[in-house]
Amino acid sequence: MAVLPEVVVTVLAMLLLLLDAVLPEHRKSGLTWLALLGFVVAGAFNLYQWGSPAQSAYGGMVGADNFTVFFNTLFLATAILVVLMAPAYLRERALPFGEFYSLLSFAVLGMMFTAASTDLISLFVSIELMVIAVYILAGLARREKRSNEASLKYFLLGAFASAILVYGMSWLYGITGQTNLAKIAGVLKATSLDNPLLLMTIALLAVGVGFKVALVPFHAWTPDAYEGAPTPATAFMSVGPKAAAFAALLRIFISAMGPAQPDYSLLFAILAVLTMTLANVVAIQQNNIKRMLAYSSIAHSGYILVGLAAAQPGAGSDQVAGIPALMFYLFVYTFMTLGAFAIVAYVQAGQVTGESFDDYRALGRRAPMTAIAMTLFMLSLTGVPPLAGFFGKAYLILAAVHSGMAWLAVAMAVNSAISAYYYLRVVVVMYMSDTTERVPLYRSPFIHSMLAVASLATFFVGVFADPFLRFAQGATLGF
Amino acid sequence: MSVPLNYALALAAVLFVTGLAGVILRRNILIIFMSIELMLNATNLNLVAFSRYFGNVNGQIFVFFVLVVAAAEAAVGLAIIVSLVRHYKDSLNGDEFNLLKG
Repeated sequence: MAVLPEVVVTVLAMLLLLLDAVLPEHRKSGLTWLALLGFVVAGAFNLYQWGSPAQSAYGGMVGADNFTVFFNTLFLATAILVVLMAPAYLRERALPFGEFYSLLSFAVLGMMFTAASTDLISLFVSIELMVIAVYILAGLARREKRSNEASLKYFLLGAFASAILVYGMSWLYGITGQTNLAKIAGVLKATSLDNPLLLMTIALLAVGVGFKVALVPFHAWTPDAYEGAPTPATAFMSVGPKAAAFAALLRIFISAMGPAQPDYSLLFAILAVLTMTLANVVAIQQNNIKRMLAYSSIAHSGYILVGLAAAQPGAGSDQVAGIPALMFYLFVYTFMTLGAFAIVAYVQAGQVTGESFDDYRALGRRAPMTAIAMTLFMLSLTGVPPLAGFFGKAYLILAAVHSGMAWLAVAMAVNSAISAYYYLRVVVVMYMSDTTERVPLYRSPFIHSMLAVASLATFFVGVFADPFLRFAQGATLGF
Repeated sequence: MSVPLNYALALAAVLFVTGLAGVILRRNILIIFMSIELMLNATNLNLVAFSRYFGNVNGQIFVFFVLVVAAAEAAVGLAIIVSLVRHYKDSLNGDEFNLLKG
């Protein structure tokens, strides 16, 4: 059955909602185990489907192939890590467990269907299922002003972006007369691409999805939403919906509009350079670590977009093709970014906001293992070999050079150097400054195991990059 | 006699641009939200017009889903605004919500 992992997550989301209503307050921490179990079961069903022939379901609305298995793995891993990160934080702030996990499951469901969509209609509905759940997650701490504000800004700009996106989709339907992505590609292949309406459609779709993946100049909501949202929700937002939006970008621009690639390749290359440069320069000036990580996540959207600019539809699993490089980078990005945000959640205990750099003073002495993990994440985000982030960037740079855009590769390398400044600032604060305060830290087995998984993944995906790259390449055979 | 496709598309474009301008120019949260709904309805008009022109039903099915999503979005969006007014500040001016910046 093609959609078994999605079915498991649907049942999980509803079960969590139901149990949250009937369980007595002191039993609710058991929901953490249920959520973990559900995501692990869905992940097992998902990996079982690797390599099986492509199927479609619901009258061609969704498909199941290696591409969806890859993205589902990413999404479910994200969900599991976020569930591990959340309990200590939620308990400390008296935030509701059941609602958090249930909304998380609905968002993950939307993400899974986004990657699986083979029709404009299902793609739009899936994206909305994802973002509507995330709007609520951002505002979950509803007695906190900042959480409310984050939710409002995310909602208004997200809904605005959705409206632009769906207007673009209506024009795509108008140009081709089809809503099925493969059929759209067929029509576009047969017609002239020298069509101003097609260019307008590309622009509308790029703006719509550009908001969702936070490309400059459509990134204004990102730092605010990330800063104000509860930290586990921020961690989720910076990874899950972003990866899903990239899956949507691939579905729209490669599956459906692959034939129009010459029309949009340069557009995405310019957006990529703009995004990474502006985000890195602004990130340097940040004194709030959540905001800094938000700009860092925008910069990484720019890097990842290089893969799409360098994509050559039809190249499939070519060693240096853009799409496998993009997907490999998403895989790497997931672990290092979730890890970094988990450390922010870890430091945010008691009266400590965990958001100013001062809260990280002497962390190397107060919590040696945590500081090592944070150093690992920061170095990997910078792109230091032999960590995962280095290979992610290396493959993207290779893809850019290979597709004849050497200037794009140069821009990316220069930006990595700029980003070292603010990532290493965290490391310097942790090891080279002292504090007299006795600041409490969380002691939760969940968050410790989460940090262990994320740092091991950041390390081993770098050292043994090959199987993971082949995983990404195998997932793009459909293109 | 039927309305030509171009007329419907032009009306939809006018609606869409009106909504776009509303989102960018107005400061009242509820009016921004209404402008977004206007943009969604421009899309619906576009889809229905194309659906009729092509003689296939996909566009009309799409419209149903856009409507449902708009309703879900309205429910969540209004809940967020209610929570904001209750816990933050009794105001609907978007500029007054400015704790997050930098």
